[in-house]
Amino acid sequence: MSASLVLILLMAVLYAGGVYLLLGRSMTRMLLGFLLVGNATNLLILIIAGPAGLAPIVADGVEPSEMHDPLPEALILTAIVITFGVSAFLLALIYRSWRIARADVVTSDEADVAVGGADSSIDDEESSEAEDGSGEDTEFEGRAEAKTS
Amino acid sequence: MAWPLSSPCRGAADLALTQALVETVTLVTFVLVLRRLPSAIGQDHGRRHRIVRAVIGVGVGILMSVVAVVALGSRIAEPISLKFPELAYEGGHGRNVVNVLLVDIRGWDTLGEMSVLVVAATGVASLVFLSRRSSDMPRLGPETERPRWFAHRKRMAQAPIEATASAGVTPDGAAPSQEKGNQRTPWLLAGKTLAPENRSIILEVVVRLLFHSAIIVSVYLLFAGHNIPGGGFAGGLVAGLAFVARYLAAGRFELGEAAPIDAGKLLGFGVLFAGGTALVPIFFGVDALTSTWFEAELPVIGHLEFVTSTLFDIGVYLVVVGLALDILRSLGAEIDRQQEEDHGDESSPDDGIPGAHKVNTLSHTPDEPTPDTPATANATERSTR
Repeated sequence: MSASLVLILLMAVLYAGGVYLLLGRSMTRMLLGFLLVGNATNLLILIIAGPAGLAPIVADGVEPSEMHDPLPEALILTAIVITFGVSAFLLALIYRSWRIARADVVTSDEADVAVGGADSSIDDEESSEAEDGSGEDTEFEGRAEAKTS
Repeated sequence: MAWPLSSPCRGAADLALTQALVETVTLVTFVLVLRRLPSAIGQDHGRRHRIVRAVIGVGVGILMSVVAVVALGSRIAEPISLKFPELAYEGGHGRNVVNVLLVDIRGWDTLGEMSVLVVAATGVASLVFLSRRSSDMPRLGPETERPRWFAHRKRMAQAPIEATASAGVTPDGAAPSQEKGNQRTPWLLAGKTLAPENRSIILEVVVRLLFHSAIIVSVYLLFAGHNIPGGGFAGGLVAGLAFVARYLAAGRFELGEAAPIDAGKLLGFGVLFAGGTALVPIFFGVDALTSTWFEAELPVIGHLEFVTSTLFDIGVYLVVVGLALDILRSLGAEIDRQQEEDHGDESSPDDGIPGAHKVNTLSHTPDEPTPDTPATANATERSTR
């Protein structure tokens, strides 16, 4: 059974971009990556649904074998709406993180790093990230103080 | 297979409809949140591992392509879905196989999805409502207990209308409030709560004209979805977009006027309704989610068929509308309110970094708002950390 090369390439690009963004530390980028991976997964299901066909609507003179497979369509329909719900949740998480911590960055969990063993490279990264974060904090807080005083 | 395999037409009309609607709502939700965040948000922080991430990303892309090709090549057995059209038409009494799959054949799947949506909506609301969970939307007047539309319109007409509000714009004369003659009602009730420079009269007029049509289209999609593309998801999304338009045109008070109902209650009622209709067949001695249909010849309307799984779809519709309202209420209206709270009477709410002038005073006491705490105290405390 053959498949559309365009769809497969599109899916691969969506997956690559989505995973690249998901691996970052910025939550906004993670959300974009999540959306890309979600759409890529829907495409994956659509590709392995088999050959294209008529819309799965029962009509006179249309055999079931001529229709596009309706079961993957139902699965994708469910996934689309759930992706929307979860991305709305992620957006709320980003807003909350910004409003309370003024941060969009997911930092390494110190306790988790300690449990995983004192790897020197992780410690380096941790300290540099912390410097980055504190630098941004003081930048905004400087403005806050200037504004309120 | 004789079908053109590389054809862009996959025969997935329901998917196209739902995907287009969901992408629109997602875009609006995105903008609702991002407009309150600084433009520097989302910059790449992990510069160090950029190449590693890129390699992993490309690797995943290639892996999934292989998965797709292998999985497609493994489809050698006769698919189960060849029986679905017959099952849908004979058993579910619907022509749209995808919709019958969702509300009837695989109804438990949809019930689980609705639960996910309710949990996600609850999470959104609890993340955004920092200090309180208001059960009702902000309304316009003090007498908000009466949800009667005409009484409210009359009251609006009697209220003094500012000179900036809709000067030269009147709705058609059919509105009952026009008995006052020279009084003019705004196109959207809450339009005059916006600052004049933020108003768009054209948008208000268009939304006023389109809103009811959109609601009717959504109900049509809901009921027609059993036989043609549509269904509870698409219908609910169209209704949600109608509310989005009302909110975007006239602000959060308009949302309260358009949907004077608690989104949480709507979500809960939707799930309960769908679950209830799923359980009713048990009392008739058949399996849960079994559907039946009634046919009748009505004098004016003609031949009418009603399939009980439509009730389940109504539950889906309510949940999707509730999700849209909950998102608008949280990520739209409540963020607006917090923004106004932060800025107080500052006249420039739309500068580069909204909300960054003042550290949030609620952040350390999320249970009760302490507006008296000086913001600098938090700032110094954080900077010395």
